[in-house]
Parts: sequence; structure tokens; C-alpha cells
Amino acid sequence: MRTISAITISTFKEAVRDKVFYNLVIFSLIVLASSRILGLLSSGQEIKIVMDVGLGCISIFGLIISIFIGGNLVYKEIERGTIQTIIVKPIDRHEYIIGKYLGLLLIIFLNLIFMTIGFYVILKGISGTWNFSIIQSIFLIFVELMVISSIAIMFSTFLSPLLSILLTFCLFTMGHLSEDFLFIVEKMEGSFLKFVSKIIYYILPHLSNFNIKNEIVHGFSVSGDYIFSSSLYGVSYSFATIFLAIIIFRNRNFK
Amino acid sequence: MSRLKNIFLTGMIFIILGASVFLTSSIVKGKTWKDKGMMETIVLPDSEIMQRASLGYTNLAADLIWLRTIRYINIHNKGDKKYPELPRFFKLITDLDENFKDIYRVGGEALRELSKDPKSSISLLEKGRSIYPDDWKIAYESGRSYSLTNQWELATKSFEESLKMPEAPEWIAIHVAEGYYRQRDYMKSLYWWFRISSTTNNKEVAAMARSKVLYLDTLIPAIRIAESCKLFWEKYRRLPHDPEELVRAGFLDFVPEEPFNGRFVIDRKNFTIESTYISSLLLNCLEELSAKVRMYKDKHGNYPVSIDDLKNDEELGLNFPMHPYEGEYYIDHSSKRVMSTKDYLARIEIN
Repeated sequence: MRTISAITISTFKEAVRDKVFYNLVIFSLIVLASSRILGLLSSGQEIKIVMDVGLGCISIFGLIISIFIGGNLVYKEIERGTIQTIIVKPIDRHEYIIGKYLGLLLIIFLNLIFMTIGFYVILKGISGTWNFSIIQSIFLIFVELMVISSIAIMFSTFLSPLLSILLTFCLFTMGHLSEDFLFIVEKMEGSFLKFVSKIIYYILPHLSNFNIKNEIVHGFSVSGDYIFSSSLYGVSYSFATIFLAIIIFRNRNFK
Repeated sequence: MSRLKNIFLTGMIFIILGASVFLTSSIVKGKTWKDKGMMETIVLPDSEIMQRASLGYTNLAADLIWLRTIRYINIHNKGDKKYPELPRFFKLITDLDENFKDIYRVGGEALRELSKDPKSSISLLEKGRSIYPDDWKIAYESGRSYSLTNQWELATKSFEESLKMPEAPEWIAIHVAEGYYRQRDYMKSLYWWFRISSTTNNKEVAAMARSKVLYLDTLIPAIRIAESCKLFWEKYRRLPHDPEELVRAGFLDFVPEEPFNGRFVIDRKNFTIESTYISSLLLNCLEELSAKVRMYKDKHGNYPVSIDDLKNDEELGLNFPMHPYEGEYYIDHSSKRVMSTKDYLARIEIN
């Protein structure tokens, strides 16, 4: 446990030292602030547009951080050769992967905190009220980013950063189109093809489960059961992906 | 050397960026409103594709299209005042974010008033009503669009439904009453005008409602006489001399009372039913307005072109008399007198 937390903290510190992270956070805050201008141009739809842009921004910049930092995280160490200095120490490989993953989640969490504060400041300035239901949506965005990060790290254990980023983005896209995929599967002919496609459907992350932005922006209530079951799905999916990453990483030979 | 190279490269990037901004702005400035309008719609995708391509950010995509719609309206407002792509814009926005409530009302109004496309307006508003069945504004706008296409039954239904919804203002009842009148359901129209006259706190509305009640009170028996006249014609191939002849021939049980203490007259030449009281009232109104026309000439040096010139005059427009037969006034430019498009209560329709 101590080893995992040490790796988590070192991963976090490394990312914080990285100028790219600061650039992303500052840029995301600028975009968030610009939603105010978009709102002013929207002819009476200011609050809605600020909320949409705000939640969209939090999600998109979180996604960029997950994919770009996650896709580099393990491979960078392999490429630099520093992985060899780490694995010769009494660190189990699974501790290394879990530590890296938790470090990335800490970075994403910090970014979400900054953006949420910025978002609330802007929203309070316009509407004059605190809308706490937004937290539900931001929480599920975080769960979605947990899933994306786990996928990025899993790819990062055996692929180059470019391929990891591309494949993670592809899975993100497919994850949002999984319901359409099911629709296509239902229309397929041939039982074997249908069976294989159904398995692919179940393997794909159902990212639309984490999207309650529309409901929150329009003031609809989202049940606690839905948030709980979506979170449970996201956490389970992430665990499964990290478990797969550990298996791949354990079987890799770095000599 | 490396430092110099970095400075040189950074400088080059800034120069290229500056040049591209300058070039883009000069291209955009050089374009006419028509080109700009074309630019707005040339990459407007199909809503199904857009829904999938937005990857869960459908609300954000709808907002961006809404901002583009505002820009599109502004560009065409300064140009040809034609908005052919507006239905596509609103369909796309509401397909992407079906809960974007205000878009239904704003879009319905814009399609009706700007695009002059009530059909698209109705389609958008009906979509809005299926999602927000309790929003009086959407139902009301829907009624207005139906009335523009003369679908008075649907219009009245929409107004009536709108009036029952939470927070609906009482003035919608005026549209309900007018809707029934346009449908020729005079009894229901009378009921609504009576209800308005007895419930409203607005003095002007109350006065208007009272005059409508009196008009309908006169119109309804006049229609009964007209219908009896038609039956009389079918039997005798002529019109009766007066309503009493209809009673004698068994087509009416009694002669309906004229509510102003006047009497109903059958105009055998013009196939119409008139009220002696309202006819004299109309004559008085025409006299009064013709006098106003002369006063307008004295005041402005020229005769008013239309009746609206009189209405809009600060002094002469005061206490402008309502048309007692629900017709229109117009100025006869040869005689310089005000005339009426309608001078009867009911017409005897003979096929």
C-alpha cells in the first residue's frame, strides 16, 4: 500500500511539474470564462449556454488530460529505460500500474476541482444562485474519465503513445455510439456474427451512461439509484481494465 | 545560436499567424451578406449525423447551432430579409437538444414572422408541445401559427388549451373568443366574450368585450332570420318582406328581439339582414370619421392616404370608433369620405 501511494504521489508530482498540465488547466479556465461571452451573444439563453459550455469544457479538458497523459504514462518510462530501475526495486508490477493509475486520477481530480470552482464562480455571477445538482453531472464526468484513463493506461503498457492515444480516442467514440452499435447488431443476419458482435457490444464501455449533462442543464432530477448504478459500472469497468493492464504488464519483458 | 534560432522560429510563427488573421478578416469583409449567409449554411449537417458526431455533447452542439442561427438571422436581416434555411436550423437545434424549451417558442415565432413559413412554425411548435404539454407559451404560439393559415378550429383549440395551463395570462381568452367567431361558432364566441367582459380588470378590454357581446347578441338572431329566409326562399322562390312574414309562414316561432331596441330588417335587394339601430350607428361612425378626415386635411395640409393615418394621429386617433358590423373602414379618395366594407349583420346564403 505504501509503495502504491509512493508511485501515486510521484506520478502526480511529475505531471504537476509538467508545463503541459498547467497550460491545459489555464487554457480550460480561459475557455470556461469565454462561455460568458457566448452566453451574452445567445439572445436570452445565457444560463443554459454557460452551463452547457461549462460542463462540456470540464468533460473535454478532462478527456484530453486522461488520454494524453494516460497514453504516455507507462510507455514514457519504458522508452526512457527508467522502468528497469523501478522493476529491479522490490515493487510488484501490479503496484506500479495501480500507483500510476491512481496518480493520473489525482491529476484529473485536481483539474476537475479547479474547473468546477471556476465554473461555479461564473455561474453564480450570472444566475445569482448555487446550483448543486451540477455536482452530480461533474461526478459522473469523473467516473467517465476514470474509465477513459484506465483504457489509456492499459494501451500505454504495450503500445506507443501515438497509438495509445488514437486507440483510446477510438474507444471513447465507440463508447458513445454503443447504443447505435447494438441497433446494428440487432439487424445483423447470421447467428455467429451476431454473437461475436454482441460480445463486442458488452466489452465496449457504455459511456452514454455517464452523460447526464442534458438532464442537469434542463433542471430534471436524476435519481440517486441511477448515479449509483452508473458509478458502480464505471468503477467495475475501470478495475477490469486495470486488471487487464496488470496482466499485460506482468508478461512484458524489459530486458 | 540555438537561442537565436528559437527566437527566429517564434517570430516566424507570429508573423504567419498575423498574416492569416489579416487575410481572413479581409476576405470576410469583402464578402456580401449573401456570401456570408451561404457560409452559414454550407456546412449545416443532417441532425442524425450531428447527433452521433457530437459524442454526447449534443447540448453544446445545439448551443453552437443556435449562435449560428442568430448570426444567420442578423445577416439576412441586414440583407434580403429572406430566411430560407431557418426551418433547418431550428429542426437541427431541437433534434440535438429536444429540451431546449425557449427555442420552440422563439423558433415558432421567427418561422411565422420572419420566414413567413407558418407550416414549419406549426411543425416546430407541435414538436415542442409534445415535449412540454404544460407550457402555455408554446401552445399559444401554436394557436397563432394555426390562425395565420386559417385553421381556426386548431387555432382555437390551441388557445383554449393554452389558457388552461399554469401561469397562462387571461388575455388569451380574447384569442379563444375570436377563434370561435372565425369558426362561425357565434354562441361559443358570445360565451367567451361575456366571460371576458365579466372577469377582466382591464377597462379597455372590458369595453371591447361588451361591444362584442352586444354585436353577437344581435348577430345570432339575425343569423336565425337569415336561415329562415333561406327556407322561405326554397318554398316560395322569393324573400319575405319582413321577419313577421316568416312567423306567419311557420318558419319562425316568434320574431327575435333586437337587443338595442331597434328591429331587424330584411334587405331583399342585397339579400342581407340588418339592424336598424346598428345601421344608424354605422352611419354616425362614418359621419364622425369623415369629419376627422377633413380635420386631418386642415391639420396636415393633405388628406390621409389610409385609415391607419387617422388611427395613428395623436389627436384624431383618440376615441376611434369600432366598426359596429365587424367590418373595415376605408377612405374613398374621390369623395374624401370614410366608407365601410360591411353594412349588414348576416347574409342570406342562397345556392
